[in-house]
Amino acid sequence: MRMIELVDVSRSYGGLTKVAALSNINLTIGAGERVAVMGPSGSGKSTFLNLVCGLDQPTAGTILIDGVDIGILDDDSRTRLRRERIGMIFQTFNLLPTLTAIENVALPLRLNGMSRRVAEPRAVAMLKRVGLGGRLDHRPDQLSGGERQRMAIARALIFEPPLLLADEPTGNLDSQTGDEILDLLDQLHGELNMTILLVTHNEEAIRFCDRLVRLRDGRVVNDEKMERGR
Amino acid sequence: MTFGLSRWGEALRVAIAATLAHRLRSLLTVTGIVIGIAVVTVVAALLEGAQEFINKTAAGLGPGIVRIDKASFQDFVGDAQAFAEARAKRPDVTLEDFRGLRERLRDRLEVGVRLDAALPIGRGGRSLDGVIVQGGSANIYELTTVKLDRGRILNEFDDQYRRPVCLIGKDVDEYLFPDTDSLGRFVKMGGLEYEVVGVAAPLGSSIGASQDAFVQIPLGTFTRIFGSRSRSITLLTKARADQTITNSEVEELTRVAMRLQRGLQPGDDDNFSVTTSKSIEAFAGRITSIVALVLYPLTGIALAVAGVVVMNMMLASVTERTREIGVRLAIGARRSDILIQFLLESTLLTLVGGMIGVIFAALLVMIAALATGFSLSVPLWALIAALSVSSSIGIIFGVFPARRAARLDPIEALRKE
Repeated sequence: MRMIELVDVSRSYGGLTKVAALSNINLTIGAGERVAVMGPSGSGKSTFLNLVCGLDQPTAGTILIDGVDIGILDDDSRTRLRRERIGMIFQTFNLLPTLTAIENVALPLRLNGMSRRVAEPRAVAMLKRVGLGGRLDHRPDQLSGGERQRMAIARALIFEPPLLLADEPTGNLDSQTGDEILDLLDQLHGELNMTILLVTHNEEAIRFCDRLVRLRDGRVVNDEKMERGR
Repeated sequence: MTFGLSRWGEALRVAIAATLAHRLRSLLTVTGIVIGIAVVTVVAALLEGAQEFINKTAAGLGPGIVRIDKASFQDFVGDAQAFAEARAKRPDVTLEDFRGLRERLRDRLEVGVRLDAALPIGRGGRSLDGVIVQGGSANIYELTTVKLDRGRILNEFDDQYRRPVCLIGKDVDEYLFPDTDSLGRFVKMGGLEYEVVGVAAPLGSSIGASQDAFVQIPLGTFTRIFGSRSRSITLLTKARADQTITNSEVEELTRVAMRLQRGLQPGDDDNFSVTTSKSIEAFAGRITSIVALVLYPLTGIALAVAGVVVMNMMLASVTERTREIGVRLAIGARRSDILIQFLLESTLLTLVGGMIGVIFAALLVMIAALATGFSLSVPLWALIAALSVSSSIGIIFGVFPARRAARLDPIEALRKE
């Protein structure tokens, strides 16, 4: 089963003098695979992630997510796909500061039109699953970095999506907390078997993955299977 | 349906959270709205109170009753000089006019007269100042709103024989006769004693002044004491009970009879004023609409400025929360969710501002009512209008910032620190 398929995907920016962020990427990632994407700054990692989640669109080529060509979807349909089928976690957590843990985690469900009565118990269950059962009514600024990332993971997985995109999820954490987060992702992967795309600089994080894709100057320079060390 | 409600509910919750997160800033932002709405509501309450007061005064004249006097201020709105000139130059309305008018109209209209003077009135050791002494023709009760509480009214016989009798208002009765019944007892005015033969039912107060501090004595008695020369008096007319005449016919008959009495030629202006309850109401309407015409547009401008302040704050808020908007878009918020959220936020702000303004206005109106004795209150329509106007400001001035928020590029927004 193919979860992500990029066919001759390019993305360039600018007017007359175009700058290519990605050039002719061909990549297929299967369901349940854990793929680390690495590369120096400016190699196109972020562009790659933005294209896969549908926030950005390629200037050429086709992107299929779970068999759906996201290039032909309108804005609302892409938004829906992102909400229901793709979970995202970020280096800076990107939680909403005015909302409690429950409210943050329930937000995607609420955006999908679910009532609070139904959405919040689901959020509570997910928060317990990531080990935040005792922090339900806390706001992000009342939590540690690791706890915030757990909250973000709970939000990303509230729909139990088949695809999780992680942009430097351990980048703002000390190494021990970073390991804990990777362990949590490992455990959740065991339960949900979602595809994980992990953009990272953290060499440690690679050991958590089955495959490593290296980008440089907008091209795939290396794509290898990994022996899982964890 | 559930789908829509839930989205709105979530947007409202976020809007409330965002507003509460910056309480002081939110409050300062809506200060303009608070003041604007408070002013407009107070003005509405005052205008309504003034209208009600004037209507009450008009009702005091009674429907179908026509009043003639030397110069009535309603005929000279906005021209104080002309009013002063008319008062100086026009001939006084006299008892001669009264008798002439009564003679001319005897078959069709009831014609009465009332003269006023102020005198202290006393009994035993007690004395009451500022009491209005009224001399009236015997038919005055048919031409005014004074009603009898007990005893009897003054009659033709009292007038003819200039008897020293009086009918007193409630205040006089209560002050001079706190423990005893006033009927059959005497009060003293200008060195003479008058027997109380009747007590009037209470009339209440207007602009804080009681309407019940009066003593009525027969016209003949009044003219014997105060004289009848060089004193302007008020004539009142209405249709006789056996006549079927419209109110405007009464007015016209009275005017024509008065012109004949004064020997005015066709083309000459009236040298007297004719007032009806309808003309008083029309006058009140004119005054209130002039005030409204000036004040409402001014408040409108103030509210528009307040709206711009709200817009400015919302724009700043969009800039400040760009990252939050990016996160929402990234995790699956539609652009319409963002639009609704910011629109709700601006509307919530101005609506709360409007509510504070209305509460503020209600307090001011309450204080004004206590201070002046006017019966004032914020009318329901003003309350509804204030809240609709304030929320409309939120919607109108919130659209631009909300659209800007909804159109943000999520990738750029997420990059923002």
